[in-house]
Amino acid sequence: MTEAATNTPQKREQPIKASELDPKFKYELQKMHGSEKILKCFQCGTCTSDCPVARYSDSYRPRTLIHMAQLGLKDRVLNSETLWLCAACFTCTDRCPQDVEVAAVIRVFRNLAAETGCIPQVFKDQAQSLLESGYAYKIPELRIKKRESQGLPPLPKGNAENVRKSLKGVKFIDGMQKPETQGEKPSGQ
Amino acid sequence: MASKYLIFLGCAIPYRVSGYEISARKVLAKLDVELVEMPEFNCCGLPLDPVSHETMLIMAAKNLALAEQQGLNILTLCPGCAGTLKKVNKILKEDKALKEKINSHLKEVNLEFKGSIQTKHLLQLLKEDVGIERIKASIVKPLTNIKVAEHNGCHILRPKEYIGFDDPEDPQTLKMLIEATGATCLDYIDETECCGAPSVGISDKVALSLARDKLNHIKQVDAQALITICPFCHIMYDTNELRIEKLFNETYGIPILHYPQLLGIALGLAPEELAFNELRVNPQNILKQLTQGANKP
Repeated sequence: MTEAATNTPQKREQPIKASELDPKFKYELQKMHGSEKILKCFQCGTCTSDCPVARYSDSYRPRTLIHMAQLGLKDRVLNSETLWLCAACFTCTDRCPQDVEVAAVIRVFRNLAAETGCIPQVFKDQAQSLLESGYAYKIPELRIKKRESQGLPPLPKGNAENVRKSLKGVKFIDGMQKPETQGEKPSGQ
Repeated sequence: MASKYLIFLGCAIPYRVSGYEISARKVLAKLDVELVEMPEFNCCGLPLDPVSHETMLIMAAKNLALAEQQGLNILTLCPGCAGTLKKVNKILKEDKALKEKINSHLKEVNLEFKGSIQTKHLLQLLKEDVGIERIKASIVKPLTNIKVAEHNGCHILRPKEYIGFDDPEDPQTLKMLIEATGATCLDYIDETECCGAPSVGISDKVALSLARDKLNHIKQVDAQALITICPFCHIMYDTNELRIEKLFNETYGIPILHYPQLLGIALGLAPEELAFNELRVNPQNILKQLTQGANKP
């Protein structure tokens, strides 16, 4: 994903149409692990004002995303490029006066967006590496060999086969293994 | 009293931050903490949480179940791994239905999560198992002439409901551990701010701007080094310092040390044993001062 994609301000110029609203979305979120308390948000803005990413991004605003979800703007939330900017520092979660677990709500949005297969490349690479080696990064052979000369014990097995076995039936992982269904998040130039 | 832990390396440390592992192992041996290697492990799950919470839960539970088979508590050097393993341990112990669901995945590989062990990060182990007083008593080379700044990072402290260690708004453990070496730990603006690492690859501009802020703030107080306890924070500052200097037209030259490197010197270990040569930002100036008197003129 490019800088341009993530720093483009959200398309505020588009007025909201009643037909876009999915009134059930907030209730779906209430049932999901992490976003149970989304309706407790009273839009105080503590999350956005304390967010380190919001300070440098023109577009990432956790309060706005939560408000949009409460209103039922499901497609706008899940297609928002800025969703992927959250650094998961959990400052918003710790400071929310309503205990909303803001970072977990953002994670739920991302998980839902990922179901469409549209995710930034970095996550695809990590998932691929996990399935192939058991580790999230492809640790180069040279690094593994170098451990001995550094006086380090051998790297324990990643056991990728068991990783794949244990992840069988996970929607996202099953989707990963069918490459034709995996669209990359467009760079949005 | 010796403690014994299973060491959980995670992916980032063997991938690119071996200096942290080398120095941590040396220091722990010196402090009589016994480390047992995990026979096998995989990614803690955290990197995949943004795209699949379920994957994260299964990976973390799988690691916990593997450790349970060894009957030992886990020690991690990476706060991301520690946070994830702690959080999943708590979630699954409290949610029976979820635990059953995750265990149905683990059954495929003959494992079962029971919730019988604990995870600690290096910092927590040093504070709770070794103890500040014992560290102080083990110092053979007090670093009295050294002034540094600390950076805890986020995952060692947040979310506080799951981590339950130190105060995320005013953390003291790392400061106390630095001062135990005899060094001065300086206060600076926005000490608890995120390094920005998780935004790398999504928006490098945002990530590097955050790291630049931190470097500016520690430069303002004339810190001789920044002390980290997280592989990702370390990469963010050490690997990227030169890039940030070029990109924003700044000059820092501030070395980024892993805490065990600082502690190791104070415990009498030599810089060569503590992987100072793995650092990207040249630590020569602070090393000269750190080792003063250690070598004959």
